Amino acid sequence: MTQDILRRNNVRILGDGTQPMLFAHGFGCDQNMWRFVTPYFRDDYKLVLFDYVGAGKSDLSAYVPQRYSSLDGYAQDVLDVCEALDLHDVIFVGHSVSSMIGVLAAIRKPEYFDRLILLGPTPRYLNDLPDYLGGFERADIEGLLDLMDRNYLGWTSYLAPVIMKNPERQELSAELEQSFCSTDPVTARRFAEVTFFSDNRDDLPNLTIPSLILQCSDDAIAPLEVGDYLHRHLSNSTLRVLRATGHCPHMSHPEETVEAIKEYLGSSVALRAI
Amino acid sequence: MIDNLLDTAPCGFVTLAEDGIVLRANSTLASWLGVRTSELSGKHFETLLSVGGKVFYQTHLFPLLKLSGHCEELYLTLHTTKGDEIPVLVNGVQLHTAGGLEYSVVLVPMRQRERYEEELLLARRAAEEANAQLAEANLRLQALDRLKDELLAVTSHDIGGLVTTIRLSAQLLMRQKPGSNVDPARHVRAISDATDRLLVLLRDLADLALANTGQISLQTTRLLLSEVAQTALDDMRVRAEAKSISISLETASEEPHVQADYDRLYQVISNLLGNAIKFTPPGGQVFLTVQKQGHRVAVIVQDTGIGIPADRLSQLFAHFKNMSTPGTGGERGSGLGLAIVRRLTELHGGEITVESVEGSGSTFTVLLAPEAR
Repeated sequence: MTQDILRRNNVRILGDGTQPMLFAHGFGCDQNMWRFVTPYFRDDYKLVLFDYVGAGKSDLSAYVPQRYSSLDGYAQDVLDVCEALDLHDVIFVGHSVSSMIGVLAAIRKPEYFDRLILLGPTPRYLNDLPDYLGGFERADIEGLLDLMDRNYLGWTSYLAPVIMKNPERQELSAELEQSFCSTDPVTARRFAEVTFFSDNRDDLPNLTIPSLILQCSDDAIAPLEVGDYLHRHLSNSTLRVLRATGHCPHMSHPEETVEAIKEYLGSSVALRAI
Repeated sequence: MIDNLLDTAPCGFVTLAEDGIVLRANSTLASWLGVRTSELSGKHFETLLSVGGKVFYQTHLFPLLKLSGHCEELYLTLHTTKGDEIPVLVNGVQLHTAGGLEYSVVLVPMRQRERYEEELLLARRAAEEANAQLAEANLRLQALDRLKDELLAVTSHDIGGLVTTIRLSAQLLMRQKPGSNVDPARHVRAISDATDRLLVLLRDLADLALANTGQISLQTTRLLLSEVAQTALDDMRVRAEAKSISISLETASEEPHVQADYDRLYQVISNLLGNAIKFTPPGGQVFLTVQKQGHRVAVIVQDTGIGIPADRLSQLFAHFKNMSTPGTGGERGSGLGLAIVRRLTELHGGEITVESVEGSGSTFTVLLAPEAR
């Protein structure tokens, strides 16, 4: 069973520490997205990386549409990994939709978690005016789904594992010369719908685990109002707005992101260059 | 600086800083968007895109450029200052420059191909839809097929039981020696009863097959449901009295006529009455009512019997599903009655519903439209 889960979710373990940091990738990518921040935590934590079923190198045959028809199914992936590795005191680091997946997992099994780091979280992407500004109208999301359909229609070069052949790009390690954010079109399309039509506002008061909300100063996906909303509704939460812009600060501004996480975790370990 | 050739080439060209801020853009891209080239510098690349495009940029394009160093043939939509959308294919590559990491991005418009793709997409969605419907139909057929197999198994088991009864009784009668204590009358009765039940079973099977294949043709005439109800009730009275069950009919004063097949409606009502008597213990009551309900005419058969468990209600009209349920006096039927009743009602364009409380009784309602004036 343990081996099955580890294979199913393509779980990888790095680092020399004992307290686990579990990194959960967002929609559209896979565990590769964490590679700019993981080096900073390797010495002090046990780093657990995984791909959700349907993403990266997960076992596609384990994709059960019913299970993954809501974020709960993805939260179950997180809990399965925790259980398979017997993880406790987990520092969960989730990007984008994974923030909410982590919140759902920590509500269900708080005993596994120590703290949650939520990168660009959103409890609901669609506006629900006048009380809630998620940033999107339904038509916007339909536009995104249409874009996905078109990109998945015939441009398989994007989907198939991208092989790096250019010797000039030597900054990329051999391990990464295989696939980046390769994804199965059907499951990705469904994941997009599940993600962008989700509404987890009612779940927020049920979270007991302390959390850090990391928000970018100019994020097209998670506006500042959303961060404020979360901070108001998640008890024991800390809100920090990064100077970083965009939606992927762990990729675009890894140092600042790492610094914010370390400060929150109270780590005395100095920031090291890669 | 961008050299002249690149500046006016028939494709958009832009270089981005690592965080997606536009460093340089060519005139072609600026003219598509309806701005001056200088206005693009310093803007974030995602501000040039449609809302869906922004999300796709953040969740797909940016991670791909950052992680793999390049992307090919990604479809995005530009958003012009006039509010138009321009579909483009995007190729991008990561460059290491003296100033740090940069991305070169080329955008090629694809309006013509977009229309072609639109058709492909629509065709694919239609095919997926059709596939899903086919899969669903297939599941329904499989369920039906299983039901028929079950029907075959159960009815052949029943027929086998009845034939065995007849055979055993006949053998006993044949081997009967003078002076034995075998009661011939008892065995002749057993043969007769078993033969009756066989005939009912075979008739019901034939009816069901005919009704399901639509081969029953209705001989419709103008009639009053209360007249059919009265006849059925009169014929059932003996059976009710044998179980000490009181049976009554109440009719509406102004009852509309219906166009219906008298014999088939008789079959529906007497079947429902037979069931009511069968599942009502001695001393109970069966009420037959004909009344107007909205614009339709209703025949209601209500009893004070044992009722139907809630989990069996939805399956009640399926073939033979109540076959294994003997009546309160041990009565047996073919188990096909309610399936036939439903089919016959449907053939009349009507509807049958059931309500039941376990332990206190059941109510069956047959609704038919009045004849058109």
